Amino acid sequence: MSFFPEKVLFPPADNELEISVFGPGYGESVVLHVPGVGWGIVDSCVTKIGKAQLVPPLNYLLEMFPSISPSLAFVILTHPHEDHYRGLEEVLGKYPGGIQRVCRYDGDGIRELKVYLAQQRVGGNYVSRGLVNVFRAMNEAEKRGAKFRRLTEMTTVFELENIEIREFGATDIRMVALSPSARSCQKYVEMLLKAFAVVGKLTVPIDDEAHNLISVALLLKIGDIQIILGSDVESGAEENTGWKAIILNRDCPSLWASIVKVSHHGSQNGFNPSAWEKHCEKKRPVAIISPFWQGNTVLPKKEDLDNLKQVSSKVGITANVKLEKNLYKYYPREVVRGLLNSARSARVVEPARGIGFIRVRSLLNGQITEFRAESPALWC
Amino acid sequence: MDIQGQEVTTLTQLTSSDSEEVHGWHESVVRTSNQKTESSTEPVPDVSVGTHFLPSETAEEIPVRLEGVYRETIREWWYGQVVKIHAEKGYFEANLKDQKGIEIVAEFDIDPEFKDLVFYGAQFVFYVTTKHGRGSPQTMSQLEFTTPHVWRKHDDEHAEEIYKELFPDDAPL
Repeated sequence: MSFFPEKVLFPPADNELEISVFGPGYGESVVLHVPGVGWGIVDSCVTKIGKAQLVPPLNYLLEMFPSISPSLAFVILTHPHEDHYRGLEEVLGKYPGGIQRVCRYDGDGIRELKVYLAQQRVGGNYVSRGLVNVFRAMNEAEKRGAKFRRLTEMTTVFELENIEIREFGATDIRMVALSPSARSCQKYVEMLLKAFAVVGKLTVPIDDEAHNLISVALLLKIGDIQIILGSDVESGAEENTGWKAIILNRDCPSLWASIVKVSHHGSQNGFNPSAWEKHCEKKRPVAIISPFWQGNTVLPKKEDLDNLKQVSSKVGITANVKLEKNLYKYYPREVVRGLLNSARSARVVEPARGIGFIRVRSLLNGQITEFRAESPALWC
Repeated sequence: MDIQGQEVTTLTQLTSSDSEEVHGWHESVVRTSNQKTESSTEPVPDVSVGTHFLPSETAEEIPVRLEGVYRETIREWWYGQVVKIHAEKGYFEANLKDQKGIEIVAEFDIDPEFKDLVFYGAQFVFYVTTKHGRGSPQTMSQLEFTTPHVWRKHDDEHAEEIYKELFPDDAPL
């Protein structure tokens, strides 16, 4: 069964760069085609269409290549947030084409995170089985021959020199992690240690946003194009964390960009004016946002979008999170009455009606060959 | 079980369509007394003994039998999780999910009776029931939070076992 319209299922030319961003409202994934390197997936998400639960990046590639799947040059987990790892287990375990390289955020906090997860499980708090399974699937992929790499500031994902690309000529190709900084990793470990169980005390989970500290932002340079994938990197609460740390890093390459996957769902927290100044050094980039909802928080807000429009040539958003106030569409009158009797407010999260995504394809001289927003994704 | 919500109820492991993601429903679940009723036409007599049947995977109405005159039916229930707390404004935000997978974002007042149970990530069951008996049926709703776990010395051993089960390739703790 096909979930993508046939008109989108044609592969890019071998000399064409592709970035496709999926984000159904809760979850984010980026699929890249890098000439001279191959296909790669950064983070993963799941979505429901009817009764089927899909992993958009996996379905996209399987439907585009129904007979022979090309091997994945890289699969990257940027940080341990549910909206970034859901479905990654399926990608790692079920992708038939083989995986060459598996990368995840810096390993310093991994052991602590695992202990924390085990303790939270004992404490009866919500622990997603998904993350545990992703760690396991990464180990399995490594056993099957994938190279494993931990990413921290200035770690190289891949680097190829003088690669001949049709109709462009020779180019260096490099993908490098811009974060997390050493200070961010240290803070993250400290925070996990603080959350460890103590005899006689409650086992209370840490705030989910804490994991943004160790988010991996990535920079891809090929030909005349540079792409920045911001993951959930925040502006930086202190000098040596988030975007502030990236900017202050003396080894950081130039941060100009042709395309930016906007960090932290386009939120104010993720917007660092100095970083955007650098992204705009050559020209204003194309900005792509995956939205996010949790509770009543829906990102990006209107003012966030307005900010981004000021600093980019085009802004694309992968979905439109809709919260439906009319509960009677979903529940009988008595149930709604009972619900609103206790709740101050309640809104139903409207499910996606299709797998929306933003796709940009470009030749290596920067000439854009395709701007596509597949509904419900749209250009703002 | 006391329908007025004064007592601790007994729940066994909850099942749901997403049961893998729902963990740790201990046997004791604090039943908060912020129970609210609707369309009450006459006072409800206290029925202090009864049998409470659990919410199950089915979204159908589930009868709750009580000794005496009354019958209570669960009309709908949700698995809920606290995602944001506005302590100064006295409410919290939660994501609710029903058995059909419909997700709701909702805000609830922090009742003084359960304020200690409200923390980021706290889990609860929220359900709407109809109570039939004398007079017209009453619609009621209720939040039941999991009891927070106080770490005990022997939990360390349990955590080690869980760690081994979750991460069999890692060196033991």
